[in-house]
Amino acid sequence: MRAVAPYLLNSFALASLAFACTALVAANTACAQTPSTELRPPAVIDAPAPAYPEAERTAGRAADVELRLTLDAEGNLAEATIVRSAGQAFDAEALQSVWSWVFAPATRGGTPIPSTFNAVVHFDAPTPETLAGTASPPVAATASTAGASSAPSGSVTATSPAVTDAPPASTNAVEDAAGFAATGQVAKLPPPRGASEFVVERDVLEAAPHHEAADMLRAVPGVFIARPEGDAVAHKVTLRGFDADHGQDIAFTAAGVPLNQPSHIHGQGYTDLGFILPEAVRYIRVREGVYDPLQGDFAVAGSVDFDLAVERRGLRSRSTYGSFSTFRQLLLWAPEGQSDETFAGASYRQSDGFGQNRASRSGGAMAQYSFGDDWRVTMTGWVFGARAGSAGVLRREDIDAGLVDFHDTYPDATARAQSAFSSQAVLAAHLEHDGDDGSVTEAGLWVGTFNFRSKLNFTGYTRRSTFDPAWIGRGDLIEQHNADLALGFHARYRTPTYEPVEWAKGSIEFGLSTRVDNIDQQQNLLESPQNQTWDQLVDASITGADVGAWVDAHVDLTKYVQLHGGVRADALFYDVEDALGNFIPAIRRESYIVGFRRNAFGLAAGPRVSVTVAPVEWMKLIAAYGQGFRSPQARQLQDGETAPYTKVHSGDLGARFSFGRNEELTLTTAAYLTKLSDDVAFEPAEARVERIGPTTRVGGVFYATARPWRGWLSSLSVTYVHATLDAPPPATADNPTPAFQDGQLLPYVPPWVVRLDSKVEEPLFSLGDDAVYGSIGAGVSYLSPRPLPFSEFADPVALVDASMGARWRNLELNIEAYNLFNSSYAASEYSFVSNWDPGAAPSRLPARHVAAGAPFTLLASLGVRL
Amino acid sequence: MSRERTVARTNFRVALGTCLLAWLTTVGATCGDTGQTHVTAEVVGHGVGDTTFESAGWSVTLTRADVAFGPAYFCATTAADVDLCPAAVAETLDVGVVDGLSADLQPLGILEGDTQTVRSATYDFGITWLATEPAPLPAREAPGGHSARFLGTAVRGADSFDFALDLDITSANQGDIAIRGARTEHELSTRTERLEVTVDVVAWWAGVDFDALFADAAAAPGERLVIDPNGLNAGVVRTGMTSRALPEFTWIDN
Repeated sequence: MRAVAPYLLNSFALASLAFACTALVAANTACAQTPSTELRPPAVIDAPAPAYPEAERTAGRAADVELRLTLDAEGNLAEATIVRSAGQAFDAEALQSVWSWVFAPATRGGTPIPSTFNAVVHFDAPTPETLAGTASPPVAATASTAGASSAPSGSVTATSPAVTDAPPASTNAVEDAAGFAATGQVAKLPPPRGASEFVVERDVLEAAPHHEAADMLRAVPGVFIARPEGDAVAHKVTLRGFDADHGQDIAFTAAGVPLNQPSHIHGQGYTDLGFILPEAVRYIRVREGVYDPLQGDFAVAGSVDFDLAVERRGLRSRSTYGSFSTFRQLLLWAPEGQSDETFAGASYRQSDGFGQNRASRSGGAMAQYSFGDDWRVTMTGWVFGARAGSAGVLRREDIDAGLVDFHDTYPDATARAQSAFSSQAVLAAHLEHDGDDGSVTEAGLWVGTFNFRSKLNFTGYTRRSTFDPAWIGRGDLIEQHNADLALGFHARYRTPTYEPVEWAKGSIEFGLSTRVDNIDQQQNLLESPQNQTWDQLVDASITGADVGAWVDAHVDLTKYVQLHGGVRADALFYDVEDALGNFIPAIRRESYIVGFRRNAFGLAAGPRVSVTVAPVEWMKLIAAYGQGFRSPQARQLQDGETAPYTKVHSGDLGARFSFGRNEELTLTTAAYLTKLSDDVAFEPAEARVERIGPTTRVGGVFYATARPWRGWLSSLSVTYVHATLDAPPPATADNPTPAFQDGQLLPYVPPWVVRLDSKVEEPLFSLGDDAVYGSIGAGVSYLSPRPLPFSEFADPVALVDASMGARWRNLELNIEAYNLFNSSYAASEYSFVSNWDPGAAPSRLPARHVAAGAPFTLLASLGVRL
Repeated sequence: MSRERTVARTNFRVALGTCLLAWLTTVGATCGDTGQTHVTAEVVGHGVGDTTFESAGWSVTLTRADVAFGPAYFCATTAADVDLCPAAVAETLDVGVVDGLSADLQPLGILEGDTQTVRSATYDFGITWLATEPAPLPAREAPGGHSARFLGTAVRGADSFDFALDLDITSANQGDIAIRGARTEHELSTRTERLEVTVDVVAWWAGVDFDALFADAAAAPGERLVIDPNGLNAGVVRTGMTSRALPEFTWIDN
């Protein structure tokens, strides 16, 4: 607390000021809807109703077609493209219709300017009367313009200065839009199953600077993310009271492809997000809790889904250079005329690192192609590789004594030998069909290969070889290798909506999700600098399969109540070939051949239910309960064992509020309870997670977003958790009676996580015929002291990242500052036994260790769009 | 103020009020503790107060018995070695010297640990074989670089001789501790204020063949006999220190 106190004060002074200002403005905007005197959006003066398509009369469904419209300065329609299709017939009618509309151009200070915005053309379902005869009058259709403030779907381009506090652009035929927050792909998402379900859109994600896509997760309520083991090892993530380590408690997907690797040797559910191009993230959907049957393995704390799309079309180049010789080059191509989901990009990054042994190189390419209208096909693929040094961890007392610098590593060959390498390649295909009858059909197939090798030394010199007990003191450089070849398939079908009575309607969904993993993994001890192997700890091949199926019902009772209820069951199979099983110690005579083969099967099933009550338009009350699971580490299973799945019971009660015509202000508050039957925590001595017993988390989350007008936004989240161990940890040979007391706090879980993101972008002046836009953004993160094992507490973390940028025509210049106040913070802290002074009697008491976070870092980026 | 604005503000206040109430309920209902608590205690050593004993007609008086103690590790397991006790409940890395002839408490160092049950002790007598060293090394505090240094006089009638023994107690294997799994049980808590280490040096010398030593001493009359540390009689003392009469641990709570 001592060292970071000034940063805390600075951070929260800024945070409070920024959010208070934005929220006040937003509240005022939401309440008063006062028009802007400077910017006015384009308006639809006349929008004749399109005819209901004859081809759809038999089905007789309602439909919405969303279009992107570009106006010139005179208010003439220059371009119209389909953003969200409702089928060929509806699309054609909508397209034909908008060309007959009459518009008023957007203005700045009274001067007409070009603009781009989204509009929704709505077709009502025909009534029996309109179906009765062929001479019936056209079915009325309405159109609506989507609000235009910093639309995540990209409905507003750089030339669109529309503001949300302007009068609604409406005529008799044009209704107010639901707002930018409900446009594009976000609008296609199903309603939230829990109050703690968030869709963090691109404007919030990019408000603060970020090195990579995973850093965007800091904008998600309850999340803190860091990369303490170097740039080639996956991030460590904290979510709503869970130290999810490298992904054990969070089910990650990108473009629908599951990313967690089961039974990974470095951590169950290991997930490396380094391949995701941050420029290609449209939004992140976070479901905190387990209330949706779609959530499968690892959805213990919840699930995180990256939606990939590029809204600004064209070719983009971005070059970044800055502190520690960090360099990044991005090339991103989003071909004109294709949907936002179609793009291709590549990036390369290198850095000398912010301390000794932290240099890194990484690069990858990602492409996605989406085509088809009725049956939409999306092909996604990526290749990524990274190699990085790792400084490892340092004993806090050694830093305090000046023996080693906070950002450096020990001057020791085994410490300097730490590094990691990772690579992955994935190919996926997704098929989606929205039936005319309201049904939904989806199917996906993916294949991926993931390779990981790390050499990390957490403990210095404590290990003795099991191969030859006389071998000792050679350094605990643990080499881990994991190679996973995975294949998966998922499909779901939602029936047409059945409406037996006027006040009730519903549908049922059936789904299937499968994956097969073929894993090879090894763990050895290496003696640096020659990397000679001096002990073999793991050598196993694992075949794992997960077959999940679910049924889910959705019922609307009047317009006020929604019920969701379903059940999901997963069957998991494991076959383990443990080459070191039944190991024969050196002191025993060999009487058999080393090796052990075993297999296990288990079933995890549980319900997921939720109730949403919307008594008024601006408020939703949601209660949810669900049971989820985490698969076991296969290598730890015994032959024939019923797999000891971690069962999670998750409950959530909360409210969501939205204010303003375009949801300029949204508030969410929720209380939650999560109980795990068998939790795990990171064990540094083995560089992997170990069982700690049943746990309980109770807490609350508050989340607010404010978008008072275009270019202004703030997002604030406050998450609290009280995470406790419910029973003593499992006894082990070296700790037969683990210490325990009622109410004992879980290690590594920060009780408070606070995050603020703010950004302002405004036109500054004109250069030539175009405006120069300037922007400033900031992200503030705070973690309260985390309890550590053995009566220790980590220091709090307070970080401020900030950026300034300017853009003119196709040029962008950004200055990004990370850790603005140069806080010496620990990306992660542990408490365990180590010996980094081999010349002295070793301490066997657990001691605080830290992995340093990055100091102040300044990067400059120059971008060009063609 | 328009009606629309009034309604909107009321809605906003309802929302904020709901959020605040939910938070007060959630946070107010909880509190926490960290589980284990760090403990420090003084480590002291002493003898049993005996300096003289009888052995096969010999009246033996020990005039010096300096015994190095430490480092010491206290484990949750009953049979503790480096592999079975990778993390100790408590430890003292200090090496102190106990005057085994004095019953007075003598400071040896500071014990540090966390609240938990101690079931065994693992320790060195001032000489440690580090995992990274090819041979055992004495601590700076070890008397003369040895685990124990004894001086004494043996008298039987008109016969007498002075003797000396410097003894090194080392582990058998690199990286090991000399004494592993010595029994001691205590619930280490914040009330624990002192650990007393009792050495019974007289018991260690019981069984020594003073007749044989006298025979050795006769080879150099008038000179103090320096007992061969690798000989049988030194072995008796070694056995006393390492198994027959291990130091006893007494935990003192306030």
